[in-house]
Amino acid sequence: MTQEPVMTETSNADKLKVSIQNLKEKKNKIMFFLPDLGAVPSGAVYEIYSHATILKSLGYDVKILIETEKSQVPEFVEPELTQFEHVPMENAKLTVSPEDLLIIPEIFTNVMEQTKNLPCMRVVLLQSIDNALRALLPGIDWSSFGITHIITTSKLLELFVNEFFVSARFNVHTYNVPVPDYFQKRAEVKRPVVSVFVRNEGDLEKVVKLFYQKFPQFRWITFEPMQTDSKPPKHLRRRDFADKLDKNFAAIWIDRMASHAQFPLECMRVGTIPICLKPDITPEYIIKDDNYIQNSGVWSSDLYALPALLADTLRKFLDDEVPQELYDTMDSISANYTSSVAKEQLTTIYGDILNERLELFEKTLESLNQVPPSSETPVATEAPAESMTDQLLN
Amino acid sequence: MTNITIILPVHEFSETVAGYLRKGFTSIKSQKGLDTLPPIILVYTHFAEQNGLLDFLKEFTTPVEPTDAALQITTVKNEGKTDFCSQINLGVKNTTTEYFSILEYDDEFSTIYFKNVLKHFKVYPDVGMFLPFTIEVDDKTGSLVQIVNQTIWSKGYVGENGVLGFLNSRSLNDYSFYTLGGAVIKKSDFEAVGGLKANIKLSFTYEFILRFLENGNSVFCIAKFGYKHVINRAGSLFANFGATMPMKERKFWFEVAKRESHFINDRYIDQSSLLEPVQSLPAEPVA
Repeated sequence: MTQEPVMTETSNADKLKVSIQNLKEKKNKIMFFLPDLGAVPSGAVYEIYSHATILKSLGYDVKILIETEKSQVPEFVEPELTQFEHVPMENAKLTVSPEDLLIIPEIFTNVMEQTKNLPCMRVVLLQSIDNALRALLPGIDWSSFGITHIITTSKLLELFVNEFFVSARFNVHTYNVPVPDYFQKRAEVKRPVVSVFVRNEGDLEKVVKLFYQKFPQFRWITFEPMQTDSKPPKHLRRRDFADKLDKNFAAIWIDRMASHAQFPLECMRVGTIPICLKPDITPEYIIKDDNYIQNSGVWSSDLYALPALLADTLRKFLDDEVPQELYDTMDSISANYTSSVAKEQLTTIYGDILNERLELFEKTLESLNQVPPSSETPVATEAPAESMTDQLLN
Repeated sequence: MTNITIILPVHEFSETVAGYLRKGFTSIKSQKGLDTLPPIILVYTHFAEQNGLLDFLKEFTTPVEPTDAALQITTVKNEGKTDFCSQINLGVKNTTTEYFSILEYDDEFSTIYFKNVLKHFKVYPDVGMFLPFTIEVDDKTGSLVQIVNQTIWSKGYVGENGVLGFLNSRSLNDYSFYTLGGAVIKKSDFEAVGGLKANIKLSFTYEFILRFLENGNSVFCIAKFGYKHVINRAGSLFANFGATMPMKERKFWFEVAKRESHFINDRYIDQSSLLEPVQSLPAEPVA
């Protein structure tokens, strides 16, 4: 990426006018840096495309920045969400202007470093504490790269930023990651099959073996990975993932490092009971007023409790004794994570960020216009306006 | 309308049988989520009639309280063969609903069973036979002995190419332990394959399910505890088989089942091979 050539004071004002005009007419670029995870399905990647699609629907010029020419558009994301210009960064010829916006996932501190001299505004997309801390050097935070805005996917991440990144004052914008609308309750009768979605296969092995060991009457139960049924199994496209999840009565979820527990929400939406090991960060949606919400799925902090919890849930399912309150609570929780809610929140968030930019440009332009002609003696109090312009354009 | 008739074969009647029947009728009256209770066709024998069965039934067909649900019981006297298979076939002949279910007189339905059956009718209209998860309990202790029919939901059982929930004849060849108690069967499919065969002992359930599948029908297992079956009851058909039938004869009947499942007619079974003496092994050479 290249930045625009350095300009004179007069051209700065003209440039600002153009930038203001572009912002008002949504002619500025919004660029998302996309991690290259190959074919591995990733909620983080999906979320980037969701943001991009929402902004595109609002009329913005959105581009996806990919690492190399070989980086492929992920197949697990619906094609209608990936219809963007994908620009390889290895030999990018993009011109970046002050009114543009670059969204960088938390793990790419190297990109934050490399882009810190660009004139555009940069925003961190924080979806994972784990990734964030892995990428940051001790004692460093994103303000070191000139970044002040963060978009996060949960209130708990917002608290995390405010609690631990005390030396910087970030503007943190939080929204609810949506469960796509195609996660729907379609199955009129559920199968006595358990979906499994775990980060560490070893954890699953323990749960399954102990379950069969302790409950021989349930040895017929099938645990179904969220993959295709083909040989060898492949990753599911997300729509197929939703359909498969919908069929089963319950799902096991173990992901200790999850920053936003998306899979249990997807389960709730399709009426599949999530049986979960609580991750290090307790999902915000199962807590209200500092208390756990009852019937929000089945949660435990103890991995070794999961076999018994699964057996109990299965018995209730087979006897039609799963409390209706459980399904009702799952419905009401997942109702807060719809596409329409997210679109509304993200529209506001990006609107606020761009408006802030617009206001800054307008104030700067106003300051520039108040600067006396060069033949006259400059007024000392007007000086900061220039430095603001420099800050923007350099 | 439930569109299901319950076939209840009663061979004999006594105070003990009355106790079982009372539980079975109560399980039907207690069905949840139904607009109307399924009607019952009770097939009875002369022996049961002599011992007061018909008088006993009045207790269930007349509501005591205005809010009580009375059972609709139609009685059919069994004049010909009175074995279990013949009684079922006769009962089915007298049904007018699309489906029927089988209640053995010492068994019970779970109270959630038929509402779940109705749900499955909507989702699987082409299925010819639904099997419930059956809980088998010991007659004396009442304790759980095992769950039956559940293997149909095991990936290890249905095989890589099988579909979970559907019984397939390939896996049925390897494992035969299924019960028809509580099964809900499409009458037209049942009759098209010839019904149950009275000439087959011990393995008549297995033979029927094999024949049913091999004639292009599908069998689906409803994943709900739907039926409670009493086992080890002294004097019951299968308890007698278990107590008296030698292993050679048991094998014989399962071989017969596999062979006869290719035929719709209830053919004569030549049992003469059972009379042949078992060949003993030659004596060990003495060192």
